[in-house]
Formats: sequence, C-alpha cells, structure tokens
Amino acid sequence: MQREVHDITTIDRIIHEPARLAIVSVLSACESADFNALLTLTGLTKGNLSVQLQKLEEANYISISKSFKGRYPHTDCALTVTGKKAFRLYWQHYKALAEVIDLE
Amino acid sequence: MMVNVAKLQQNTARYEFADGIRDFHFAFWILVTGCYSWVVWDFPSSITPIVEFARARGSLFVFLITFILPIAVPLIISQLGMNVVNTYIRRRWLWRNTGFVKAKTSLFPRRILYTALGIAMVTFVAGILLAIQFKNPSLIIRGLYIGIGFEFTFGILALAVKFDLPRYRVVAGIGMASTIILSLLPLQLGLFCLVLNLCWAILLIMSGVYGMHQVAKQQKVTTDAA
Repeated sequence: MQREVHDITTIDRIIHEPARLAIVSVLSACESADFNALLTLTGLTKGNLSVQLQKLEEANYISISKSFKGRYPHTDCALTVTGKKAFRLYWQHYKALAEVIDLE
Repeated sequence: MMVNVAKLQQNTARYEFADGIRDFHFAFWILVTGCYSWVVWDFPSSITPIVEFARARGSLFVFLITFILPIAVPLIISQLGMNVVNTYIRRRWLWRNTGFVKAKTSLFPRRILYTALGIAMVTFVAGILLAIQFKNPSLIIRGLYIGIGFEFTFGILALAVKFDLPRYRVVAGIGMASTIILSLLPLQLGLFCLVLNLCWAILLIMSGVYGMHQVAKQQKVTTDAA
C-alpha cells in the first residue's frame, strides 16, 4: 500500500492536470498543431489554453513557435523530446496505478 | 473534466485522413501504376525499344527505366506535390477554422503494415502455385495484383477502425468485392491490372470528394457559429 501511495504522489503533476493532459494527448498524436486545432480538439477556452500552453512551455514539455500568416498571428505547438518522454512515463505510471486500483 | 486520452489522440490523428486529400494521392498513384501495367502487359512492343535502349546500358539502367521512372518518380512527385498543395489547401480552406495539424510521418502501426504485406504475399504465392498448376505464367502477375487489392482492403479497413472513419469501411467493402469479381472475369492481363486499379482509384476519388465535402460543411458550420 505504501508503494502505491508513493506512486500516486510521484505522478507528473504538470501533465496530470486535465487541461494539460488533453493538450499533451493531442500533441502526442501529431508532429505539431496550431492554436486553433488545439482549441477545437481540446474544447478549452482561449484564455485557459494560453495559460496551460505557457505552463507546459515553462516545463520544457512543448515548444511554441509564433509567426504571422498574412496579417494574422499564428501559433504552432509541438511536444519536445522531454515532453514525449514525460508523457510516456506518465502514461506508464498511470496505467500501472489503474491496474493496482482494478485489483483492489 | 474527464480526459479521454485515446479519443483525443484518435481525433488528432484522423485529421490527416478526414478531409480526403490522402485519398486523391493514393488514387493518383494507383492510376499511374495501373496505366503502366496495362501498357507493359498488353502492348509490350510499345516499350520494347525503350527496354532495348536501357539493356544496352546495363542492368541498373533497365531497373531505372522500368521501375524507378514509371513508378517511383510519380510517387515521389505526388508525395512532394501533395505536401505543398495539401498544406496550402488545408490552411487556406479545409482547416481554416478548425486549425492545422501536421501529421506524424508514420501513422500506421507496424503490426498493420506487416499483416497487410503478409496478405499480399500469401495471395502472390497462391498465384505462383496456380500458375504452376495450370501452366499459365500470367497467374503470377494476377496473383500479385489481387494480393495488392486484398492488402489495400485490409489497410483501408484498418484505417477505418483506427481513426473511426466509416467511409473507409464502404471503400474497403466495395474494393474487396471489385477485386474478387475482376479476378474471376476473363480479362487480358494488362486490362485486368488497369480495370482493377481504375476501380480502386475511382473508389478513392469518390471517398476523397465525400471526405472533403464533409470537412467543408463542418467549416461552414464553424464559420456560421462564429
């Protein structure tokens, strides 16, 4: 039991937050996605999405590139190598915990 | 907020196939190989001077003329052209409101690719065995094309399931039926290759038009809502 409690406390909290988990899940299935695609796919509001992207960028889990398409600003996001590794670890961790919960 | 990771990943990955542009690319390539097979098998005299010219310059040149130029070059051109044109069409029109997703280079799990290849190989070997049994070498090529037809059916069905795209189930069903029916018809080898490839190409073009129409409709709804 102690091990499971330890496992839960060591889960990656940056990814574990639902909005960020949704963003990372989307980015893990593609090379990159722009801001509009992330809005459509995750269903988050613009403000929330901006904040969560910033947090993920600070953790070095995603890279954000900003440019202009004509007169409009364009934001592209992609998972970094660190982000990919973190998401893979998080998912393994999560599945292992889910198995323990299922058994009990 | 409940996050369905698998569903989100599926919705993201299906962007690449949902708008039907990939279907046009496949259709183009299938059409090119179909026409090439038709000319090679039914009008061999038309390519004899080219083969003779190539043979005089060595086996590498024959390979270049008979395989690289007619099959690989259209594939590369369509792939490169597709990347440029698709990105433009998608950014400007198809995904204007819903945003742009750059797909992963390898969308197919290896398990699916190897199974599809296995299906093609089994049919090809069956063609060889039948050719030996009936002393008809053309059955080898027929077996190969039927194998590719079955491989396509499996691949497209796998796409339909993996990305939840019902239109691909229809394409796989009709494609499979066409492959079986055509394999039973007494067509000349080249014509058989051409008609089989034409069937698949038409199916994929129709699927592409349908996919594009659906995405365009979705964009219109999003624009109206905005």
